[in-house]
This record gives sequence, structure tokens and C-alpha cells, in this order.
Amino acid sequence: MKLCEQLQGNTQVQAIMAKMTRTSKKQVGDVIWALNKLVETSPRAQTVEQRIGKAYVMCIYTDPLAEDVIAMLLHVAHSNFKASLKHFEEWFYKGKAQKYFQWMVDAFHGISYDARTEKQKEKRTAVVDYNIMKRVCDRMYESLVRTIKSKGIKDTTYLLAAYNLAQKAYEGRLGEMGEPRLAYPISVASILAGAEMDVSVVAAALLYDITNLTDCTIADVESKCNLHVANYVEATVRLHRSFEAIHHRAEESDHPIYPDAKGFQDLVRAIRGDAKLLSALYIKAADRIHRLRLLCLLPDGAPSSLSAGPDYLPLLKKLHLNYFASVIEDLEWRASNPGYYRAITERYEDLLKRNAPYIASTHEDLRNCFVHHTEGVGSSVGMSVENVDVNIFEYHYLSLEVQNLAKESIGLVRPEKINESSVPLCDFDLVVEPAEKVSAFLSLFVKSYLNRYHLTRRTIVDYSVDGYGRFVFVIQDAQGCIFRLCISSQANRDLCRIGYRQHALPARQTKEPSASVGVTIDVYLRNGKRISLPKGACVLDVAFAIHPEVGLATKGATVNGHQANLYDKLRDGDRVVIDADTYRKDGLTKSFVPHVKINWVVFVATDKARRAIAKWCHDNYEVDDSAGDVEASDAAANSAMDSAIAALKGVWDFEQLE
Amino acid sequence: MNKLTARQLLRINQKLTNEESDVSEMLDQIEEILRLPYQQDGKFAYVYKNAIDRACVLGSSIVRLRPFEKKNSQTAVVAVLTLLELNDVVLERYENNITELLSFLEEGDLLGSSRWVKRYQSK
Repeated sequence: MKLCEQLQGNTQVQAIMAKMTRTSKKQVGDVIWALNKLVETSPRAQTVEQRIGKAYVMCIYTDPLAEDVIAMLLHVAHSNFKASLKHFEEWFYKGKAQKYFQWMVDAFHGISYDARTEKQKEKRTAVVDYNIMKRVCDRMYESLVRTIKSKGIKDTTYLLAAYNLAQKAYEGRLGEMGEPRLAYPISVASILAGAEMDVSVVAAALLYDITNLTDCTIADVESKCNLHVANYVEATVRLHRSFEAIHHRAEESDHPIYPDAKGFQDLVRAIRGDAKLLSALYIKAADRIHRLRLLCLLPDGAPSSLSAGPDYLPLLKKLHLNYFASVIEDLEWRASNPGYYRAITERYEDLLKRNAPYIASTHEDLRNCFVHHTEGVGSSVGMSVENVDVNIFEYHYLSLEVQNLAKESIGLVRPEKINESSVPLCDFDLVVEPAEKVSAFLSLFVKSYLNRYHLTRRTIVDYSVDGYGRFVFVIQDAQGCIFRLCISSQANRDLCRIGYRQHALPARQTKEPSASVGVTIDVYLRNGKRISLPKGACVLDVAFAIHPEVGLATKGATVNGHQANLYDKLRDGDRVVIDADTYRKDGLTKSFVPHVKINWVVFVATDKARRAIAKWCHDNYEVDDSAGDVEASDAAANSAMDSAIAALKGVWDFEQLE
Repeated sequence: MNKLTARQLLRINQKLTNEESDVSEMLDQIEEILRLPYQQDGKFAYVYKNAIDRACVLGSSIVRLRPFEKKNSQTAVVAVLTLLELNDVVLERYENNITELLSFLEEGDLLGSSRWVKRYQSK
């Protein structure tokens, strides 16, 4: 089916068609037909434009059904020109015509068809538009609930209460793009639900600007939902005010970035000390992400009243909320460089398509080595770890990482410089369950690299431990394609995806007095010196706290006078004596003999220790193609020795040898 | 990368001497010699990283430690050539200069012997 000439080249129509092709491919033809009929039945070009604009807003907000789009396009024809079921039956297949017509008529529920003046007609159109979009909002909410339930949360009572309250409060209000205002908080809540936030935070996201925009108060929220949700809403308002004050002062003093360092620091300190404010920051970050996504979806040159909103990026970076910070950074870059973004995206998709067989073979090899073996994980490589589950996830991280890497490595974006060997094509996440077996699996992985030829054809070009405790191997295959292989537990993987969880501040945050209560422990050395460590620190952490070289050379320790394992967790007040392997090379200089193992990284709790171990591994860890050795088969060896003997037979020099 | 087993090395010697002697006593010493090319420095890195170096170390060890009763030098040369061939290193027109290789192996000159192999390696 073809679009009428008038609509060809219209960017909004193209966007609608692209969305419909993705969501309901079978009904694309009906939408095209509806667009053609809209042009035929509307005497004014302005009406056509307006209808298409409304349908377009619906499409960029969510994944609408074809029924919604058709109803949005044709309801004016129905009310003004009496387009009846008969007309619909002429336009669409009989079964579908009935459904589309009924869907459209339902949007007129309780509205009078009598409208004489233009003003009345406009008002009626606006109400019907709103009704259609409200139905879309309901479906958005249902999808939000599905997302939350898929994460294993069954009780969504507060969420429903929050949704009902939001529905009531935002009734009749329109957003910046003409959509019901309710759609906005639902989208924000969906982002948070996708990032596996607590259900109370998601509920608070439905209501976070309710006190600014409507007459609702925090007390209303508390009475309709619960105290937690009300607290989060209140914290969001508080954060917004504090941030606005800092922003305002910055603008007054004409400085681009936070000249009011003290105010900024105070806010950071307050957020670190208050879990509610941290959750509020998540909500604000999700708000910003949603705004930027909308801005990115608008086609080039499309008029929009949408603003990007306040910039929370410095705050997020300062607090190491990496997931949100990187998404926002990416979207900001995307919104400001749409042309470059498109070029990079196309280039990357092309790369993926071209290298699909290599990606598939790498995935297959990993699967064959480490998954689906009854004798234990890794039995196919001659070694195995019992009672371990390994799941492999493949990520093509087109939207985030490739761009960031491209930006970092190339400086100015030049898509032709992005190739298989300059950016990782994809990530393989090897998630090991249970978490205690990660180190055992890591040893197995490293050994299998040393032993097996089919794995060593892919060379490890880099190795590191990222800030979330994941072991990241950069691997290059025989064709030169780069992949990244991340070995971690499920908890570390989640941590990486979200930044860090609520209420679980990482060790570096513990310097703040409010957060440090009960989070650090004090241990004592042989000379009585006190060392503060995060809770959960082990003997190795103490050794690395003394000095990284001591840590690397540690071969044993005693805790409170008893021999201890290096991985033993310490308690507050423990007295630790480290036994490091040292010798005096020339009788004077003390040298340390490293005893470090790659799996120590799993047990240590401090960044200092992790960094030192990672650096040592990086400097000393060497794998090349010669590493994987196999015994030659007898047949091959016989033939090789026969040919060697045959070549030397009759050579006088050789015959003389004993 | 392919490596020789103790039994394969023994078979080389048996072929050269045309004798089938009792080998159970020798096996331990031969296995120890076969491990020498695959020594590791620290936890991960191999001391000898490529097939040529490893073959030369093996040959040199056989010549100097003399694990067999007879024909140790011949066995060493054939073992070097066999190991090289198993790892796709093909030599050509080397036959008349085999004593040169043997002198390098006897001296334990790894650099000299690997140079000798590279000189005759087919391009």
C-alpha cells in the first residue's frame, strides 16, 4: 500500500510508520490507509497536520496500538463529517473495521456530538484526543506493573494507589508536547523500574512533581499511599529546591560550572548521608533521561517547546552513579550531534553485520567450554568446577559504549575510523552462580586459556578489574575483532548496571561521618598502629593497607595470635600480624617476593588492594599463542619422526653421531 | 602447540637403535626432560615462548643429560626436527650441516641453535 503524494517526505509520518513497523507490522497497511483517508476527508491542510502531530506525539511517547493511531487520525472525520461504520467497512477489512470503529467511538464516551461553532469543535477534539491518550497511559501503566512483577515483586498496591492519585491530580492537564501530563511521570517511573529500583521509589516517581503542579500536598500522598512514598516525594522536592538554589547562584555569578563549591559539596554530603535524597536523585536523573530521550526522538528541525531541564550530571558524577551518568552523557551528546550519532550508528550496525559469524563463533566456543556439561562447568577443557551455573549474556552496546569509546579514542568523531579492532564489537557477560565460585571459575578460565588451542586463538590483549569487581578481559580473535569478556557474579553485574544500589554505599563513601557508623572496622597491627577498613575487609586488605608491595608478597598471617587464612573476614578490634615473603638481595635492600594470585581480587574489599592486584596482573600476566599446549597424536608424531629419519638417512655426519 | 610425549621420544630412540629395551626406568627421566621446554616463570608466563626455542631446549637437554643408553645425539637431532615439524616449522637443505646444530646443542647455545633453525626454515 502506498502513501498519498502529499504525505511522502513528511518526517512525522515517516517516524509514525517506523514505529508501527516495529510494534505491529501486520497493521502498517491499515495505518497508511487511515493516513490517506485523513487527507481525502479533511478539507484543510491544518487539520491533517494537527492530526499527524498528535499521532506522532503518541508514537514517540510509547508503543501505541494501530487502533489508537487510527482513532487519533480519524476521529475528527467521524465527528465532523459523520464517517460511519459503513465508511470504515469500505476502508478496512470487515473484521478490523468493526474493531477500529468501536475503539474510536469509545473515545467519545460521555461527549456530545453537537458542536456548532469552531470553538466548540476544537474543545470536543481536544477532549477526545485526551481520552485516547489516557487509554494509552493506562497501557503504559500496565506495562510498568509487568516490568516490576518480572523482577519478582508481587505487591504493587502502593503503586496502584500512587497511579490513582496521579490520575486524579493530573486530570485534564497537558504536557509540553500536548500529551496528557500523566504520561510523563509514567515514563519516568518506567525508567526507574527498568533499573530495578525499589517499588516505593517507582511509586514516588509517579508523584514527584505533583506538589509543584497541582494542589496535592505531601499529606495527601501519605494518606493515599504510605509514609515511604511521601518521604521520597518530599525528598525530591527538597532536592529540586536545593539544586535550583545552587543553579541560580551559579547563573548569577556568570560561571558555567558550580562556582558555589561549598553549596555543591554540602548537597553532595547531604545526599550521601540520606538514602531518601539519594533515591530522589535517581528520580531526577530518570526525569532528565526521559526529557533527553524525547529531544533525541524529535526529527531534525521539528518545532518543540521541550526543554532539556536542569542538568544533574555533575551531581551524578560526583556521587559515582555511573549508570545514570553515562546514559545522560550519551543522550546529551546524541541530542546535540544528531548527524554524527546517525553516522556512528550506521557504521556500528554495519560492523556488527559484517562480523556476525565471528561473534557467533566466539559465543558458541564460550558456550561449549563453560555451559551445558553434566560433569561440571569447564569439563570440556579438561578441568571442571562442580556445582556452578554459568550464564552467558551477549550485549551489542551500540547506544552507549561504542559512542563513548569512539569519542574517547578518536577525539573528533570520524565514523570511518571505527573498526573491528578499535572498538569492542560486543560484551559477553559470564555470570557465575553462586558468587563464591567466581574465583574458582576465574582460575578455570585462565587455565583453559593456557591449555586449549581453540581458546588461545583469541588472544587476551588487556585485563582489568573494573570498579564493580568484575574481571574484564579484552579479547582479540584471529580476524582482529575485539570483544570484551566480563566474569562476575549476578550481584556485581546488577551493581554495574545500576551504578550502586540504594542503601548500599560503596567503601569510598564511608569517610562521611553520617554514613560511616557501623560501616568501618578498626584493626591493629603488631606495632599497635590502627587501620580503618570497610566492613567485610579480609586479611589481605590489611596487608595492602600497609603497603601494596607487602600485600603482593603476603604468604600468611596471624589474627589475634592464631594462624589465619588470607581470605578470612576481620572483625572490629582484631590484632593482625602479616607475614610477607622478603629477602635481602645485597644484604641491605629489602625485596619482596610476590605471592599474589589473580583470584585475590574477589576477596579484597578495598579499592587500594584491587588496584594493586590488577596492576600486578596487568604487568605480569602474559598469554600468547604458544601457551595452549597439547600432546601430539601418535600418528602425527610417527609420521614426523619417520620423515626426519628418512631425510637424515645416508648423511655421513649424522650416521657418525652417538 | 603440539608437544612430544615420553613414549614418542622413546620410539625415536628405538627406531634409531633398532632395539626394544626395557624402558620403565627411563620414563621418569625422559618426562623430566620433556618438561624443561615448558618451564614457567612465575604463575603464567612461559620461559620459552615459541616452538623453535622449545625444540632447541629439548634437543640440548637430551644431548647433555643423555637419558638413553645409545644414540643420544641422533635422538636429540631427530627429536628437534620432529617437534619442529609437528608445529609446522619446515626445514629444507639442512642435512649436510647437522653437526653445526649438534655443536650448538652440546654447548647449550639456545641463541645459536635457534638461529641455525631459522636459517634453514622454508620461507
